[in-house]
Amino acid sequence: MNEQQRMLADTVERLFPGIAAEQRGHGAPGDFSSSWERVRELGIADVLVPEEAGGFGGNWQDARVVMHACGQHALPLPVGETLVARKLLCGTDIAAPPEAAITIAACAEAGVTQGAVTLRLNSVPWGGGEACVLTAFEHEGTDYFALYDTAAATQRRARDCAGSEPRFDVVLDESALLASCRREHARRDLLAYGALLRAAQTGGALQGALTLTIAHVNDRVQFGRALSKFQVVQHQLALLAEEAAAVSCAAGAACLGADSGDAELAIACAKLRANRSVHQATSIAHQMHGAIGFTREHALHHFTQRLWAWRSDFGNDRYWADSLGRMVARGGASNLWSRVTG
Amino acid sequence: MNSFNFEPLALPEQTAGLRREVREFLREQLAGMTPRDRAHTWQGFDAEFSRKLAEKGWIGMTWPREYGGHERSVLERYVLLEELLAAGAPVAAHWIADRQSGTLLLRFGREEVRRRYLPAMARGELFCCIGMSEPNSGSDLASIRTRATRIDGGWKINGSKLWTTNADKAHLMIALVRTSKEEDSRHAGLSQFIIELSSPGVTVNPVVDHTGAAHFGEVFFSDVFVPDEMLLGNEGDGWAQVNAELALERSGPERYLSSYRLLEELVAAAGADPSPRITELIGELTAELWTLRQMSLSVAGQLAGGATPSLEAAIVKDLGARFEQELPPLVQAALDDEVAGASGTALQDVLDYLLRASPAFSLRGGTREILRGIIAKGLGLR
Repeated sequence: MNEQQRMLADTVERLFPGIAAEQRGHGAPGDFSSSWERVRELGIADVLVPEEAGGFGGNWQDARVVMHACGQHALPLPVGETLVARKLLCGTDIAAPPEAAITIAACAEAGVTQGAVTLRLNSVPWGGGEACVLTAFEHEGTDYFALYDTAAATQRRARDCAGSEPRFDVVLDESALLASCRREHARRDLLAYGALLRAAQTGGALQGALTLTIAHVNDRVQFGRALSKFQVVQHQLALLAEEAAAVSCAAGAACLGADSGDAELAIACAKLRANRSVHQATSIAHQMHGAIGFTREHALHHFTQRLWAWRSDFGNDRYWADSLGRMVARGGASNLWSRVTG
Repeated sequence: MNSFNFEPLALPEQTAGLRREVREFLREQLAGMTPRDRAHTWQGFDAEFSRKLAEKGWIGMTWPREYGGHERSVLERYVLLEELLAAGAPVAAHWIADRQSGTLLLRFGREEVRRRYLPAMARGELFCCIGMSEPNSGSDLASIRTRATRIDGGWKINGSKLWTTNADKAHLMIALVRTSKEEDSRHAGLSQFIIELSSPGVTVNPVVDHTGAAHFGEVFFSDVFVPDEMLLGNEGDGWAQVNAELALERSGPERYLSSYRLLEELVAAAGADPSPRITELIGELTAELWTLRQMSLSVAGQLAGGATPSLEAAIVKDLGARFEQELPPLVQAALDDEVAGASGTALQDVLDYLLRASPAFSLRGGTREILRGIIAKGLGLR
C-alpha cells in the first residue's frame, strides 16, 4: 500500500465499523440517510472521480481499499456500488447525482413496448427506492447506460437472499428514467467493473468472516479446551484463511490490471476465484461457529449471506468459467502462458 | 486488520526483456523434448542443460559477482524460474543449489567455504541435496538422530538421511544433524553441516518410487569426517536456519506449476471450440493458476523487500499443492471422445504420469498437515 492508500484505509477503518453497528442497531436496513451523509462528506464514493470533477482522482488500487473494507465490515450501504457507478459515468453525458447513492445491476431483459424501453433487473441491492440504479442495455445494436429511480419502478418484488443487504427484482420503464446515454461497451464495462467490485468485496467479507471465526474458536471452550486447541479446528481455519488470502490477492491483482488497461482476463479470473471460494469458506465459518453462528443475533450472517448473493452478481461461476475458457481456447495452448503472465 | 499480507506485485518493466530472452533460449534448447519429459519439470535431471543455463548467467543470478554470481534482482530470478517451469525445462540438477544451498552458504558459510563451492555451483557443475528427513523423522523433523561428534580438527558424523532428492547425483549435502543430546533441548541441539558426498564413509542408495523413477535416495554416514569450516552458521543454530531455508522453499513457482504441462496439453487437444464441460474446466483451472501466480509473486515481492513471510509462503504452498494435485483427476474426469487420446498422445501421456506423480506434491517441502499447522500458528490459534 502506498501513502494515499494507507490514508484511505485509515479513513474507512475509522468510519465503517461505527456505521455498520449503527445501521444494524436501528433495524431498518434501507434507511441509511444519516450514515450516507458522513460517507459523502469524506468523498469516499468519489475515489475514482477525477480531481477536476471534484473527486479524489484515484485509481482502482485505491478503490480496492474501499471495496475490500465494504466487504470486511459487511457495510450496509451501497458505497462500493456508488463508487463504481460514478466511475462508469465519467466522460458520459449522464451527470452522476452528487448527493445520491447509486447502486448498479446488470440488465436481465430489455424489451420495447410502444416505442418505449422497459428493463427487468434482478436482485438489485438497495433497489427498493433507497438508491437510484445504473444499468446498461442494448437497443437496436447500440449500448446504453441508463440511470433509474428505483422508487418509481413499475414492479418491485423484495428478494430475500442477502439479509441485511436489501434486494429487489424490479421492472423499470420511462416513468422511472432519470437519464440515459449511448456508450460503447456499456454492458461489458458494467459487468466487468461490477465483477471487480464483488471480487474485492468478497475478499473483504472472507476476511471479516475469518476474523469472527478466529475470535469464536479462541473463546469457546468445549471438552475443557478452547476450540482453537483442536487440530481439526486449526486445519479448518487454515483452509478458510487460504480462501480469504486467494480472493483478496486475486482482487488486488485484478485492480492492478484494471489500472494498466487490459484487465479482461484478470477480472474474469478474480471473479471466478471469488465465486469458487464462497461455498467452502462459508461452510467452514458456519461449521466452526456451531448453532451460535446460525442465529440472527450473531454477526456472521451479515458476511455469509452477502457472499452467497454476490456469487451470482455480475457473472456466476458458469458465466465466468465459460467466458474465460473460451478466451483461453481461442488463444490456443501456445498463448496460454503468455496470457497468464501478460 | 487483515490476517496476512498479499499485496499484489507488478513486475518491474525491465524484467520483460529477460522474459523474452529466456523464452527464446528455451524454444531453441527444448525443441525436441516430449510433453511427458517436460511434465517432469524440476524433477528432470540434465547436467548439460544446467551448464548451458549457467553460461547464460542464470544460475546464482542474485549472488555477488565475487562468488560467481550475477547480481541480478530477486524478481528477475523469479521471472527466469517461472519461465523454466512453464516450459518444462529439466532443471533438477542445479535447482537445489540455486534455490537454497547457495543462499545458505552466502548467509552462514565461512568465507573459505563460500569461495570453494559457490563459483562451481554458479557454473552448473556442483549439485546439491538437502539432508533433513530420516527413517524415523519425517514431519517431526526436530526428532532427527544423525549426530555430529566433535573430534580433532572437525566433526565425525554418524546416522542416515532418507527421501533425499538427487542424493545419488549431488556432490554436496547440507545436512541438519544433532550436535548435543536431545534431552538438553530438541531444537537447540541441532546444527547444519556441508558434507561432500564423496567423503569416505558415505553410502548412497537410490529409492525407487511407485512410478518407477529414482529421484530420491537414502544416505548413510559411518564415521564421516567433516572439517571444522564445514559447520554452517553457529553450532546449535540449525533449527532457526532450517526454518528460514524452508520459507525460501515454499512459495516459489514450483509450488503451483508442477501440473501445468497438463493444462497446456488439455488446451491444445481441446481446440478452439471445446465442449461446454471442457471450456468451463479450462476456465476454472486458468483462474486458479492465475490467482496462485499472483500470490506467489506477492510473496516474491515481500522476500525481495527483505521480509520473511512464513505464513504467506505456507498458504501458497498448501493452495498450490492442492491445485497441482486436483488438476490431473479433474482433467481425467472431464475427458471425452472429443479430446481423449490413446497412449502416445501428449495429453494422455502427461495425464498418466501426473496422476501417479502428484501424491508427492503435498508431501515434499513440508506436508499439508505441517503447513496447516504453520498457518494456524500464524492466525494465532497455537
